[in-house]
Amino acid sequence: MFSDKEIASYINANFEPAWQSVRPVPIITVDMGNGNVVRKTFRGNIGTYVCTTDGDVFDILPGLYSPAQYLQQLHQLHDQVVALPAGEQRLSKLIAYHLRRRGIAPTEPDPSANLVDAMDGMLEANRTERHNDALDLDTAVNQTARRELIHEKLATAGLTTPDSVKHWLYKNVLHADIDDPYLGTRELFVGNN
Amino acid sequence: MNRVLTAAILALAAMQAAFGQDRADMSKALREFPTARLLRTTDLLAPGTRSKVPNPKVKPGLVTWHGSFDEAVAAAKGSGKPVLLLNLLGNLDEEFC
Repeated sequence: MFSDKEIASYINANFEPAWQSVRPVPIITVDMGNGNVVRKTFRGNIGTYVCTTDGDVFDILPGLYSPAQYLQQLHQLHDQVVALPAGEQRLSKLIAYHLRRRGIAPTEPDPSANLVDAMDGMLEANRTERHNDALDLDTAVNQTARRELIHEKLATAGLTTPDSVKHWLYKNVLHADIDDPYLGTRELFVGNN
Repeated sequence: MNRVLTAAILALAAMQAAFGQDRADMSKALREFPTARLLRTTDLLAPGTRSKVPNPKVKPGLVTWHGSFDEAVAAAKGSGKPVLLLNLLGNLDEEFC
């Protein structure tokens, strides 16, 4: 994504960018025994924080996006974050922004239920449109269920730093608990025993 | 005893269905049942399980990244541009990330 000329040019011209590893990425290696080795990352994921010039989180893009959608979202978030007033009004405007975008929040949000519902909807839509691009599907889920969770979180967290929300983001939104040595996969593979 | 036998038969049937193999191959399939057995018998926290897979350095895309979030914030105070922070598992300047 960051080798895309248009995306890189836009970021370089409009942001002060930095990257930060939250933990090493799991790598699965399959040695086929005949000299061929298949190697792939597992459960790797990203979070893109758009922050104010003070380093407070304005909004977060969770996970991978298609290049076109990523660029579009960066444009929108850039224009919105630079319009955020400084001083005492900043917090109330930030909260209002997230409240507007989260829509009608359920009284007791269930992240997994939201995600499953969204996935079902997206998969059905995908089948209907014969649209089999996994990245587009990921983008759609990121833009719906996952963004909604983020808006709910940031509406209550107020002014916060990326470090303060990254554990929550990876565990509850991206479903990869970075504090777990198994990265949340133990039950997936071995159950509870 | 009957319950145990029934459970075993059901488990074998499930494995057979999952792997699409003949009963004659089931014992091998059971021994090799891949990730579950590996993880069940491996303590990921034990030092002996740790090894470093080669991960060559690469250019982290075409973006001109600051060295840290703090550096980006310091630059933002001067330029007036918002900060973009990318969090990821692994390192952006390595092949596998």
